[in-house]
Amino acid sequence: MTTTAASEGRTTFIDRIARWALDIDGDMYGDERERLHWYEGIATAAAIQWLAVPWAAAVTVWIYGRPAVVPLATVLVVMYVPCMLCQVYVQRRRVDTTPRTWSPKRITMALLTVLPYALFTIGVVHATSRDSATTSGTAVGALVGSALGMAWLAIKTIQRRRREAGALPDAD
Amino acid sequence: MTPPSGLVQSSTHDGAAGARIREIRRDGGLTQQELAAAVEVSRQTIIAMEKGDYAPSVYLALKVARTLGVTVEELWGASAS
Repeated sequence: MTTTAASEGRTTFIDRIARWALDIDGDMYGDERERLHWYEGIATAAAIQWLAVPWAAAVTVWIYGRPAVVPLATVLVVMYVPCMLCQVYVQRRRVDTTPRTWSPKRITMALLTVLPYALFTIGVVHATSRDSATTSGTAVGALVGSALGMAWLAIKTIQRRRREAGALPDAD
Repeated sequence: MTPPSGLVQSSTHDGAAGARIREIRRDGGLTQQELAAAVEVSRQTIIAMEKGDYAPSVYLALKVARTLGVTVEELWGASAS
């Protein structure tokens, strides 16, 4: 099994990480069927972690307060960077990451993904400032920011639909 | 208890192709283990293909067909029509 090189052909740092992690030419994951099942399992685990870790951080910061802020923020950053690498990786392989439709499942997943980061941010401000006005302001800001993010995604979805509705020449 | 075959499998259960693989393999005097070794996969993967639970990649399909001395079309093609 081989992976296609990124569309522009230049091997990047992310490509090298991916090649190492996927172990394409190695025997870490067995033959192609076993490899696919490993990838299924890993993708499932990652999907759970992407939700569970931010939610755990969002809850924990409210319980433990200021001492937990830096460790939890570190965990979230370490969690978030690979998520961004995932986006870059698939986009470089001509995967359109903009949702084509907003199904109930996608909306639920988007909310479950965004909310813990907003809650964590509010929790951090609450733990560090102890000022209710600041906390309230941050809460409003986080909610507005989340809403703007969702609106931006909705606009991208509309743009994608328009793009796909238009007649495009073959990509050679 | 039979373990689940998992999500990665033929979208249409292709028992007919699996039966043809088994038949031609047996006609050729090969065991599942020998075929697995020849095409460099595990015996479990051969079993999954013969049960129609796993649709191999084009590369593996070509290897299997060549090892059995037939074409890919003869193994997987007829069931599509």
